[in-house]
Amino acid sequence: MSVEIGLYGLVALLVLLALRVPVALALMAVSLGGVTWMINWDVAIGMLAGTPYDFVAKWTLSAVPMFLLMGFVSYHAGLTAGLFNAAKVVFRWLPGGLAISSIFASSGFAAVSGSSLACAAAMGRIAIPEMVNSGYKPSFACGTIAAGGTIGALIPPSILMIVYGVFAQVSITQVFLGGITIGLLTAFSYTIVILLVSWRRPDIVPRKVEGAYDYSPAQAIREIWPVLLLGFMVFGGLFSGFFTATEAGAIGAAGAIIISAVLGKLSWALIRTSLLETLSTTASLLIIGVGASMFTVFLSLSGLAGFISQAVSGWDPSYLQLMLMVVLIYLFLGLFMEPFGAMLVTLPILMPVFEQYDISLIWFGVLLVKLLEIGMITPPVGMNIFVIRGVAGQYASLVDIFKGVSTFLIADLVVVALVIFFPAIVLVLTGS
Amino acid sequence: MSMSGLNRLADQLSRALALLGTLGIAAMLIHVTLDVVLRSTMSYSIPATLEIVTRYYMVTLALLPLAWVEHQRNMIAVEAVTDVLGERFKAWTDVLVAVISLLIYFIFMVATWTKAVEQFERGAYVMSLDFPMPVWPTYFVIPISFGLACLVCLIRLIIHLSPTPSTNAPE
Repeated sequence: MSVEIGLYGLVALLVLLALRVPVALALMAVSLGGVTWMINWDVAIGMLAGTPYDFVAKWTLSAVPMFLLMGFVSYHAGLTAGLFNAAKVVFRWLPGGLAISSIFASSGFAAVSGSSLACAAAMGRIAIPEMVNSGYKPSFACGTIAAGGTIGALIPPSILMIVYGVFAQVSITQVFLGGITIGLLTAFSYTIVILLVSWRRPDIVPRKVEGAYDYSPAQAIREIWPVLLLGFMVFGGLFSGFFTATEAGAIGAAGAIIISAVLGKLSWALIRTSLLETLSTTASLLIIGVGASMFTVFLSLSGLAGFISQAVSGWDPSYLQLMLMVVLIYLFLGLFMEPFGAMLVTLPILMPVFEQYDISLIWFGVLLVKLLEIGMITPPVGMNIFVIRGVAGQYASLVDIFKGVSTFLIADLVVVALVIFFPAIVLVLTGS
Repeated sequence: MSMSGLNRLADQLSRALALLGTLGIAAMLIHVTLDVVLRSTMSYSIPATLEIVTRYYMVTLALLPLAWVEHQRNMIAVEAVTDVLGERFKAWTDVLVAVISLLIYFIFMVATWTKAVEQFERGAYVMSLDFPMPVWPTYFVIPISFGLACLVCLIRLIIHLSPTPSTNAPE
């Protein structure tokens, strides 16, 4: 009977989500209703009332606001503005050099920001006009930046990875190390796409652009030293084991504020905006975490999570079948859900299955974030596409941007396949 | 009180709590940075940093802004399905969502209030080195946050259900 209630709960959750009930509240409502149905009201309240406090009062989660603050300050102070110019100095000799530069500039941006939306917005403002003026087809230029933005959540710091680490109870530093590999792999795969398009269709991606690269390496370094310094401080400390993730985030945020002050870019308005954006993002994400914690309680009480993992082991799929199923689930959810909701709604169900299959949860976290990020650029709800439409709407329509990004989706699927067939790729830096 | 007055009240209250949240972020930034700097230069760690960060700053900054996030309509939801079904359906679900949200916030306001009172009466504390640090105060943050979020939804519901003039009330 309890398993049945678990299933009804799942259906009720989907209905509430479809009706636009906020993800956090839908999870809370279903958990409360479900536990009440299984046991009684008093027990349900007793079990769930402590969750909001217990969930947020965690040291590992405190890395979320600190890294968000670092990203927002860097972005608003323009510390990342020189990345595109610097990347152009390196990639000027390649066909499609501007697009490739924008991809690597996004990777650099990703090292100070944990959000793919911020990454797409920042790069979109700078790179799309320049690409279009240099003869790139606007839809492809917009698609490049929308896809490049996804690297923002892959290369650490990554807010998605921190929240995953908390839920899966794995080391965030280890997931971050896997993120470096998959982030760079993604950047290289996008580079290959650009090179191929430039080779086959120079009308879409011009092979050589005159006059776009009047920059010396010395100038480039002068423009990006803040990002290099921040990256060195934060990741040097984190990966050497000197800092915890929270401390790395705090040092990064403090560093970004000090560098902004040194460069004369710090203002009260900047601090205020960055703090408010950090607050809004943290609160709206963590309340979903609270809901997901309650949902975990409900699912384990109902025995549904155990039932599903038993059903899966009864079916006894091969590793590849299981992975194919996981990929399809997340690609489907990515069509209409934003990453945090999709991740937190599914983890309580899928985690027991992976534990049973002895799949490395660090590896899975990295793959999961990659899959969720693909959802950021697939229709109808591709958040990165909407952001690009917001910052460069005069160049391409939504449909055009979706078309422009489609070539990169093929590269994404190749990367996902590589990670599944050769798990060692992701784990190479983690040493596990 | 008029509709716009109600809305203004919700706005100001939720902003005030959000302001406290930003102070939480700033305090956490300064505290953790100082702890790292002191530890690496003078081998001195600020006592109870972990407890203060998790039980004070995190609870304040993550939960106190809830009403503000709700008021600004920044709660994360799945928009795709209702977008397809048109404006009339959307208006109808707006009311339904406000009712469901209001109920959930209300239930958790009452439940977490009881929890907070329990903690207060016990004088809940954690030992940090030899110093008993009280932790009950921030338990009250949660019912306050849920309560104000509940109020925001109630005001939204009243505005939705009242006849036309109120729909011109400033957001």
